[in-house]
Amino acid sequence: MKSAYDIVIIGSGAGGGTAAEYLSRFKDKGVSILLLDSGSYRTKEFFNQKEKDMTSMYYKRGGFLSKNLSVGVAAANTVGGSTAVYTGVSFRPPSSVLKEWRDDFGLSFLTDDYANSRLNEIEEQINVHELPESWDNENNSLFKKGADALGIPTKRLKINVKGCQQQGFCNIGCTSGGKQSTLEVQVPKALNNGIDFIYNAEVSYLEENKVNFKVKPAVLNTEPNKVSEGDYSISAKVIVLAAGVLNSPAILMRSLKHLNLQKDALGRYVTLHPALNVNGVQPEKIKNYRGFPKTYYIDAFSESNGYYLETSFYYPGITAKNNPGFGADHQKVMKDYNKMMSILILTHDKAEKHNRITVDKNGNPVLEYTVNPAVKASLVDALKKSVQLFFAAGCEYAVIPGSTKALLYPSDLDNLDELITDKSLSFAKSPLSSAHPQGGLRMSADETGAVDINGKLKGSKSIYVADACLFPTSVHVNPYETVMLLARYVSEQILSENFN
Amino acid sequence: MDTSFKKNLIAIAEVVLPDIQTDAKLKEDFWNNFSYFFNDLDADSSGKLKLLTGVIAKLSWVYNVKSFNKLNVVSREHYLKKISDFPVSKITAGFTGLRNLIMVSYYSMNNTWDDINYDGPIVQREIK
Ligand SMILES: Cc1cc2nc3c(=O)[nH]c(=O)nc-3n(C[C@H](O)[C@H](O)[C@H](O)COP(=O)(O)OP(=O)(O)OC[C@H]3O[C@@H](n4cnc5c(N)ncnc54)[C@H](O)[C@@H]3O)c2cc1C
Repeated sequence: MKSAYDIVIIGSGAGGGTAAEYLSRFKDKGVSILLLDSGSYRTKEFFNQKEKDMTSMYYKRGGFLSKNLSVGVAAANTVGGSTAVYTGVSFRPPSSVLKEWRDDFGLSFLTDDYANSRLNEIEEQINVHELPESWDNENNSLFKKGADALGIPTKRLKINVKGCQQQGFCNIGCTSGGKQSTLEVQVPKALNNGIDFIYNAEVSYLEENKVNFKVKPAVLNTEPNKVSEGDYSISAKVIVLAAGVLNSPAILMRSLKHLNLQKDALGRYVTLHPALNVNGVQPEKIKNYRGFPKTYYIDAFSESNGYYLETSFYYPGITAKNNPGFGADHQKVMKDYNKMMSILILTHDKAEKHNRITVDKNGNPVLEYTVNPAVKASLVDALKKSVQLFFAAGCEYAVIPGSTKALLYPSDLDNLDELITDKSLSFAKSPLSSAHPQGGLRMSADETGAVDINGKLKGSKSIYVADACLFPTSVHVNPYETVMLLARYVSEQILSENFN
Repeated sequence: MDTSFKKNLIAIAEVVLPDIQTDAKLKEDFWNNFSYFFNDLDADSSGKLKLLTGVIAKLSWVYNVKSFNKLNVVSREHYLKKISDFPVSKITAGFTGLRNLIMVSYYSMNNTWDDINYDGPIVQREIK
């Protein structure tokens, strides 16, 4: 490690990994790059599909809750960031969202042509494609069967895998490296191109042209540290902040003494795609825990009711947590784990100023988030649709958060409007979850933006942002491709503004 | 961990997971796994969960005129249903958090998987 670099990138996830790989292509310009990540370097050999061991790679073990305890946010703290645990569901940002971002926030560069040209390249690099139907496990075929019976159109998801062994649980690390995360693709390519990389390196605060961080001990069974533990301060011509929605704003808030930033714009307009995962139980074994968990989705209610339905499945502890209630009924349901089919409800939430990241007295991120009544209405509708789909797919019973009855049977179908209501759905009893936090350092030409339309932090000479924080509003679809697109754009601006 | 926390926590877990009521080994394994996750929480979260467990035990005197640990399982279940519907949302949400940790601790143990008909991971790797 040197004491000064041209570029220091903070975070190796979707944003930071993409920026590192792209910028590393220009080593012939003599650009020196250091990549830092607070996570340990866990390679595919470390992963074992056991949630007890693998949840250690999540920030706060996956138990990061909003201040009012109504939403839990999952984000990874490991090399590869959340791409090491994502499912790889691959969506381009919808044209309507790009138009909104151009028209309302001044992101004039984000034309369909620009997005498509960069995403063609990115998708090729990480092998985005539709999976063959032969890969569908029964959860996926039953989801389609149920939707067909109800006359609801389904679509096939695109996924970025290569040599997937269909072990079941993408969200606790891919044991074969089949998932084309930044851990598998962009970070190794950037290392190959000669960048320096320090993991277990937690950035505490930034100054203009200076990154301050602490190298912590390596976790057991992960790659050993290449530099000694302790505090470091490294100079950089350009700093690229890509520590994710929970941590990028927090790093800046810890840096306020040293930087002259527009305080009021920091941490604001966070959106989450608030989600619920629901289960229905089939009469026969379906072993949803093997095979690829996601191949179908429904967007028919996106415009009208504000949500997507996607197939999904989770490991036993999280499934138990997602099923409402406790005691004998709950235990009975868990004994049917190998008959469960599962739906993930993803709602679209509005970007609201009061939903924000702030920090506690120790500088750790705190999420202030209130669920908008429109999101609650979407959830109630989506829960009822899911129940209908479960029974149309032949389920014997369903376990639904927010239902006044612990277990729902086909005979309950006529009474769903009374059984699942705005009032019966309590987020204190059934908290929402989010794996798609977005915003917090909005990219916008207007005063609501913390970042300008070239990706530079307003009020700073040397700091750029290149992660999901940039989203001006919710992108509506699973977000990683959009994160990579924006990180790529910001990287192009960094080169042309600083190294031409 | 202090003994009153362990006692109260297990009294709660016996209601959440009835199977541990009659299987001493399963109960001990559960406690060990719970402790593993609990000790990994940040000080703020573990402090709040400890406090909540204490509050649940204390409120038992108000609702049941009896110590929480002395209630039989049926009364404990009845009482915990009240707690999970408590009008103060911080208590309800806190109880949900505790319930979630209990569930994750239990169902992430290999020795519960047979019972739920889960074959376990295909890869066989231990993290030491
Ligand atoms: C379980 C799960 C499933 C998902 N599935 C999908 C999916 O199927 N499709 C999809 O589109 N999206 C999915 N996502 C979302 C997607 O992974 C994220 O939107 C995306 O990775 C965000 O990119 P990012 O760069 O903003 O943050 P991240 O990818 O989270 O990267 C942030 C990085 O910063 C590091 N960091 C944090 N703090 C510091 C610090 N102080 N110092 C140094 N480094 C720091 C972290 O360790 C991490 O590596 C999923 C997410 C999760 C959690």
